[in-house]
This record gives sequence, C-alpha cells and structure tokens, in this order.
Amino acid sequence: MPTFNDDPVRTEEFLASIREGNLVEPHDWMPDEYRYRNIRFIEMHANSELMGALPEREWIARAPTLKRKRSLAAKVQDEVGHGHLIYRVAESLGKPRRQMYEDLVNGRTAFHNVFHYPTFTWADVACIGFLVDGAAIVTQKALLTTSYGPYVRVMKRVVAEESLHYRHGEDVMLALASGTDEQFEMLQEGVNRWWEPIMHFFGNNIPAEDDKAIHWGIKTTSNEQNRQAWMSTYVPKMWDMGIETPDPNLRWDEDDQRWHYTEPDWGRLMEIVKGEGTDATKARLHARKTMWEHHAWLHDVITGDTPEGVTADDLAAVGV
Amino acid sequence: MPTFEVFGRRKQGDDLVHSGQLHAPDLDTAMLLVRETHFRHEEGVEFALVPSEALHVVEDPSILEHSIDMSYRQNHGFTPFGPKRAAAREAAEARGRGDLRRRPVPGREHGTAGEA
Repeated sequence: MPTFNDDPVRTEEFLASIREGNLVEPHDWMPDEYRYRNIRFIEMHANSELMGALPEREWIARAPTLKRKRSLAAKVQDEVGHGHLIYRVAESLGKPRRQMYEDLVNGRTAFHNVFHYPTFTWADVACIGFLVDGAAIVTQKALLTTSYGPYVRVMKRVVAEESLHYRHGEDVMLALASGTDEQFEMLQEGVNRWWEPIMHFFGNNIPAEDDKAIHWGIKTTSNEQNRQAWMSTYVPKMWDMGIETPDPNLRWDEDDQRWHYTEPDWGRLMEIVKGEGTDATKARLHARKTMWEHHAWLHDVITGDTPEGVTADDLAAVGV
Repeated sequence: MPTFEVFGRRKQGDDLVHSGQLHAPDLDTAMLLVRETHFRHEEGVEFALVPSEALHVVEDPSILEHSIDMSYRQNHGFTPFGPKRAAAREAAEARGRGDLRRRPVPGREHGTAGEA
C-alpha cells in the first residue's frame, strides 16, 4: 500500500459528502487513497467476472442437453461482458485497461476465491449458478449504494443480468434435486465441495468500523451482513430440496436473529487468493494469457498499431 | 441551421438521458440556449450536447430480431418455478430428507414446512 498525502480538510469534506449519499464522478476531485482503493476493488471485480467465465466455459461442450448448452454459453458471454463493462469503470479512475489485463494474466492482481477451484461434475455448474451467483447477487446488490457514480450505473445492469444467471442456476439445481438418486448424490457432493469457498467468498467478519472499504464508501454493508443475508435466502432453499448443508453447527437463531455457523479456515482462503491458487488457477490463467498473446495482433489492427512482424506490404495485401 | 441532441442528468448519479433536440447556428450558441429551452425549471444538474449529424441510427430493425428461440436469455425462459420447487420438495420427502425443510429459518416457525 503506497502512502498518500491527501489534504486532510478536503478529505474530511469529501467523506462527509459521500456519507450524505452524494456520488463521485470521474472528473470530480477525489483523495488519492479513494482513487487507489477504488481501482483495486473494481479491478478485482472485473478480473473476477472475466476469470469467472472460465469454470463454466469448461462445461459448455459437456452440457447434458442443447437447452443447457445454450443457456450456459449465453451466461458465459454475459460474464465476459460484465468484465469489460467493469474494466471501463476502473479505467475511468486512471488505470488503462490493457495494463489491467496484463497484470491479470501475469498473476500480479487478484480475483475472487471461488473461481480458483476445479470443477468435477455437472453439479459444479449447478453450484456455481445457484450458490456462487446467489452470493454475487447479495454482494453486487450492496454495490448499488457504492459512492462512485459510473460503478453504480454499471452495477444496475450487471445485477439485472446476474439475476437471470441465478434463474439458470436454480433451474439446474432443481432438476438434479428432483432427479435420480445418482443425480441427487452428485448434487450433494457438489454442495459439500462449494460450502467452504462460499463461506470464504464474503470475507472475514471484520467489524464495519474497521473495514477500510466501508470507510471510503466503496462498500456500504459489512462482510458478515452479506454472509447472513445470503444464508437467509439460500440455505432454506437448499433444505427445501433435501440438500444437507455440510456444517453441523449451522442453525438459525430466532432469538439473536442471526445464523450460527462454524468459522471457516481463513488461512486456506489466503493460500488460495494470495498464494499459487490451485491447478485450475494455473490452467485458467494460462488459457487467458495464451488467448491474450495469440490475439494481440487483432488488438493492434483494431487500434491502428501495426502488429509486430507485419510489413506494409502484408497490410496492403489484405487491403488495410 | 444545425440540430443538436440534448442530454441531461436529472440528479447526481443518474444516467445522462436524451431529452430532446435544439436548433442553433453553432455549438457555443447551443450551449447558451439549451439552459433556457430544456433546463430552466431545475430539470437537471448537468447537460451535454451532441451534433445530430454525429448520431448514427441503425436503420434496419431486423438486426434486433432473433431467428431462433432465445428465451433462455430471459427470465420467462425458466419460469414458472413453483412446479419445479414442488417436485424437488416431493423428491426430498421420498428420499427421507423432508425433515430438513422443517428446521427453523428466518420467518418460519420451528416445525412448519417451508415453501421457499
């Protein structure tokens, strides 16, 4: 984290303004720390959309029916689209998109933990669509009250599309839950695999007053609020389908009005997002990097730069 | 005389929305006039102008049509969920897992079955 020399008086005025609900626009004055933290947060969000398309992409060719194949392909297309929309938001704060992409494919920046995990069966597609997208809807809806104007406007569209993805996920989930015993077992095993990553997804139970992202008006809800909201909506849905949640301590406390659960292993989360990830992480980053490098010439042609190794005669031959 | 497309932001945080057109001899005059023609009743906090000739409208509406059923891109491609949820609940009962949905959850009293 760099050090910042923001004017303290102006910064206080700025923070008071965003706490009143005023939005910040790209050309407004903003503290350097606000700019820095927003770029980091929004860039990681964009990275996650782009990397999040890959676990599901792995299943397009293996989808069980044509209907599932088409809806999965449409969803993957949407996620990549979200990535690009959100990269544009981060770019409006000053970091070029190309740099963000280079940083991602070279492992210099992070993306969400849930997209590091390998997928084993079609039930993983159900779990990503139902559990992960459900969790994403909770955290992304909370971003509708973030303080950066372009981010708010983009998130309105993203949340609308995300709720369609959730429909797809619930549909796959219900089909497996009401299918054969083998399908049900496969689904239960999928939920067992995804439970800890989903608990990790919301982040640790940091008090709102210590959460810098809340202080700077990037987030307006705490990690624990988001996790509780997710459990209140999605745990009952799983229980209704007869799916057991793998945490024996999970229960709703009517008196406390909150869910009790086993604290996940936060060290394991750090190993995944700050360390080397999993074999799937390496394979997916390799896929992204290879695509980036193989298609660099197209990027150059579109932006008007002459691709490396291409002569004027080559361009003339294809009418450019 | 050139035409300009007028865009306004109703309040801070809203999108810039198209709010009409304006005739003016040049951009500077248009910038002066637009406040009187479109924003004199506090209709917005920001406005912008674009020369109409800079707008390129897609003239062939068939570009928006789908030649095949693409309802999987819409909620109605998946609804109604009621019968699907009922089938999953029945399957859960048949597997001896019906008790799970009688656990306490927010807004549901202990021992009563859920219809989430």
